Amino acid sequence: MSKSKVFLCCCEDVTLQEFRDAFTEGFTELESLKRYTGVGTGFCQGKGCLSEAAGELAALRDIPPCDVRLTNIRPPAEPLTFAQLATLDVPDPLDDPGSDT
Amino acid sequence: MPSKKVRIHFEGNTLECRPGTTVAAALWENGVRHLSHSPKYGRPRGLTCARGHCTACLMRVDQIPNVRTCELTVREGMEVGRQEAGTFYAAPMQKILATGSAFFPVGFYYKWFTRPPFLSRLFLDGIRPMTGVGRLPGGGSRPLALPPVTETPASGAPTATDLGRFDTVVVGAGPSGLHAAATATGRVLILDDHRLPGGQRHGALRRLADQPDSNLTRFPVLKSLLDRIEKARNLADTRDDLTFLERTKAIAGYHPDRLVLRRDDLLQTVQFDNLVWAAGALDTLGLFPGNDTPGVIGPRALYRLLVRDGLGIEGRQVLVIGNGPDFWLSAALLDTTGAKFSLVPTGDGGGDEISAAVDLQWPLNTGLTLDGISERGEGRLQASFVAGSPGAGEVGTRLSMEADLAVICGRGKPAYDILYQLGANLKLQPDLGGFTLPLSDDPNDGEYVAVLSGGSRLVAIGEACGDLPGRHHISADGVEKP
Repeated sequence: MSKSKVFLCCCEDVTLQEFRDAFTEGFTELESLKRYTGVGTGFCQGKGCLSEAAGELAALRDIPPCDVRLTNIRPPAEPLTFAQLATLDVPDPLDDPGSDT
Repeated sequence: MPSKKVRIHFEGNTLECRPGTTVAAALWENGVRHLSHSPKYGRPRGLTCARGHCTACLMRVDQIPNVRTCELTVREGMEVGRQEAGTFYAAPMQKILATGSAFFPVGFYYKWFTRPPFLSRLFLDGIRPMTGVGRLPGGGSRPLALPPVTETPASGAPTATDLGRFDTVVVGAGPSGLHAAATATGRVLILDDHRLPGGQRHGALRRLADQPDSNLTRFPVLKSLLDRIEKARNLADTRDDLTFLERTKAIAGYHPDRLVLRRDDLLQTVQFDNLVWAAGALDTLGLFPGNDTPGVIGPRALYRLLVRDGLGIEGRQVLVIGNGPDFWLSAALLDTTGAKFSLVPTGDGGGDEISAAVDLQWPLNTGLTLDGISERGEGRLQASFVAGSPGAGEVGTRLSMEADLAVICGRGKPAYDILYQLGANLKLQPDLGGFTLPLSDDPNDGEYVAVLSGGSRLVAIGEACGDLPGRHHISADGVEKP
């Protein structure tokens, strides 16, 4: 029907077509696709789109879905105000061995 | 019990709202369906997740930008406005960029464009208005009238508290989480973003159960769902040493054993030996043309809007598309509201439920495949479908239906971000709905478990590991099996 766009990431307005185009341009990892297209970099930090984007990437590369590497997800999982953050005493995230990028 | 209406101001108009409802729901009832516009294409966005996850309901409230109005309760005299994206610049700039992109190398990053300086400045001036969501009142150069910043927090201001260490922390008080909390040993903390334990469907199921001549008995899948929740609640009630934190979300995880929790403005930290991740699943709307149209929501958003916010949808048209328990719960819940709803069941199965729906004379449209959703005027959806089974070599006939809301039901995707932050190695498992912990290598447990290098143990249960709603076949210590 319509020529309406299919949105992969609604926060940053990334369409499915843009994601596929970026893959054709040579971005074949979720991490680089995220940086190039902006998918998963919006307010929701990928809650709405990363599973879908990873599934699409597995199909584009024709690899098993479990081989798609997830991008790095850093705390916090939702936006906080500086006032809220200032109340917090947590370990330095740079010491976090979970981070590798 | 008609109580006094609350009045809010929206872009020069005064709107009357039910007290206790959220700003986004109140605007919807008053006919305001476009809450924001998307940053790049300037497309209208409206009610979507209703749980403070997405971008669609971000508005300016009392001059503060980017407020999630789907979680904000209306207050007398509140000033609400849309933040208009730079759409005026966006369309022509996109054309220029699309034409000019042939001259840029693949992966071009605008900050590399430094020479010649005058061209660089021109380029930046052009693309900068394409980002962001518009200008602050007063042109953006004037500071906002926000309260002054003080160095020491005012007395009574919340400060983060440390809850200490627990043997088991359970995130999510749905049937799986409650069951796990009730059977875990030692000091147990359980938290949920709802006011009451029971999970995302509990309020909706309770409302059904409270109806005279309830439809619960006609839909065994819903009856058993409620029974499982009540059973888990009763089991958890037998333990008086459980700590339950209501309206609390886990918002950060630090390797290997620390969580940050948030309730309103209050942050709390907690440490654990075992983490039971029972945070449930998020709505998955799917990839189809117009999947960002205002009013296209998932079942979990519908439950929150109808049960938590009491959204008034009497006489409105609602389309319910999809399958699974959430499809039938959405339909049965809508049946209690006076909304005019049509059902479009997709996929196989659900034969018993379909015959129950036929008995109830609910409008059913079978054999249709969703082709796309678009908007006809503010807030009127038009969903188009293809009839017949696609791929049989024949072109199906097309038909379309109009509605105020479209509820897309299917398998949700597990919530996973905190697990990743804690250091777990997650795998994309489409048959489980998305990213979650991999199945344990140990043949003895058959669970979704990760043991972190610091020695703490993570278990994902229930919908958070792709289970169907309400099937808590794994307890915290992994003993109970179906």
